[in-house]
This record gives sequence, structure tokens and C-alpha cells, in this order.
Amino acid sequence: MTDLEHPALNILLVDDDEGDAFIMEDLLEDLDLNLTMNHVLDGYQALAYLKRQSPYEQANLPDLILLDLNMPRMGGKEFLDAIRQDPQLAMMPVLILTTSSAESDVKDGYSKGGNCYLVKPVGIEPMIKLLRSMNEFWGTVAELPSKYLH
Amino acid sequence: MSQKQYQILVIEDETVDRHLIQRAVSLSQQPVTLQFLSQGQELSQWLSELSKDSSVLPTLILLNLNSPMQSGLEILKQLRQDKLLQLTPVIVFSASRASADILKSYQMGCNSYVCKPAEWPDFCRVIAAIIDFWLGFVKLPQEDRL
Repeated sequence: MTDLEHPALNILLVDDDEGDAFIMEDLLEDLDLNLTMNHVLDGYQALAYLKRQSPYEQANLPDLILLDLNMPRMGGKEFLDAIRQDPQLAMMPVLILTTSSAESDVKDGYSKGGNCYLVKPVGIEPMIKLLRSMNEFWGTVAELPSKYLH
Repeated sequence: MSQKQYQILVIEDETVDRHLIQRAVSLSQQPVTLQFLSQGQELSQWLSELSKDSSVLPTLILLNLNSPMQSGLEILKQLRQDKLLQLTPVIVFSASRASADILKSYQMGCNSYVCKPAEWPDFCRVIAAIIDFWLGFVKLPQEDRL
């Protein structure tokens, strides 16, 4: 094994836009990246998933989270507040992926503990480029806490 | 990647590693300027000057953990408490593969942790991946100033 070989990256997508989630799932399948993805619709479901509460008792804990900001029930900022205060989840990398490029959202995203802030690309080709780059960095290059915690 | 000029602050004491980082960034052919600082007094002085002239704020910070002068984790804590740099992404770039260093770094607020590869082709690939993702796709807190 070289320095850069890693097991498959397991992502939890937290996004109320089911259309975006379907597109991402299809692209990941087509691109044949070493990556698996599960999807929940809001921060409330994401917390239940991460804590393996009903109906997620068998959930496979993710290596990182892709988080939308604007969602019903519990939005991304509230979700970040919740997991950064939870000793079991505080270290989990969270990549904010949202349509908003407002400076206030970027600032809030980082100050609440988002590891990075990504603006959702418009169109399939830009999305493919983002997924490839994300997979190369987070799936191959970065050391993730999950490797040592799960 | 757009043609903005990005500045990466590299907190690194090792001369050989500085040279390798510089060479790998040059090979990536991206609009990146590197500023190298040693840990300890040089960094403290730079931070104090930054408070007088914030026009030289870096867009990204690479931080080596191992230093004879000052612990990298102490520096990470210092950066996270600095008014001007607290939101600037910090990627720990270290030879250490110790789980304690990796977990502690995330716990103290690094944005990511990358181990320095021993082989030159892997080293180039890692630097290219950092530049491609962080400067090509990530919206950085200082970006609107570039």
C-alpha cells in the first residue's frame, strides 16, 4: 500500500433537495469513485442517523458530512451547533454545500465549525469536477478522524 | 481555477520541506504565492505585524506540527484565537501519522489534516490536491478581498 491508498470514503449528504441528491447519487455511480453516499433530508434526521437512533439503528457512520444550510426543521447552522457540542461527533469533518454564496453565510459556516464551504455548482460538468476534486482531497489525501474513532 | 493570486502561509521550520513544498507548488502552475515562517519568534512577530496591516492576510495556512521551538498544536490554538485569522482554513501538514496528533488537531479546530508523503510523486500529488480543492472549489473567508 502506498502513502495515498485509502478505503472507500463514506459520505452522509444532508440536503432537503431530493433532486440534487438523486443527481449526485447518479453521478457518483457513473464516475466510479471510491465513495459511498447516504442521504437524509435535514439536520434533525442527520442527528438521528449519527446517533443511530430509530430508524437508523443500522446506519454506517460516515467519514464526512456534506451539509446544506437551508433546510426545514433543523438547518445546517443549527446542526453544526449541535454536533460541535457533542463529544462523540465534534471532530467529524463537515463540508458545507449550499446554493448561498452570501458573505454572512460563509462567515457563519466557518465560525460554527464547518471544515470548508462549497457553493453548489450549476450544471453537471462543474459538479463532476467538484466531486472528483473532493474525492481526491478528502478520500485520498486527508487523514480523517473516523479512521481512528469508529 | 480563476486567475486570482492566492497566498498560502506555510508554518514550517524544515528547510528541506520548505524547498519541496515550493517546488511542488511551482509544478502545479497555479497562481499561488507562498510565505514561509518559522515557528516561535518569527511567527509571533508576523502575527503582531498583521494586526497593524491586514492587507497581507493569507487565504490558506499549512502548519507543520513538529518543531523544536514551539508545539504545532499550540500554534493552532493561537491561530484559532487570533481575531484576523480565526476563520482562515488551517491544514495541518505533518510527518506525524500518530492518531493522537490527528485527533487532537481536529479537536483544536484544524480544517483538515494531511500527512507528508515520503515519496516525491506522492508529495506532488498531495500539494496538487490541496491547491485544486481548497483554491479551486472552496469558498474561503478572505476570498472576496482578492
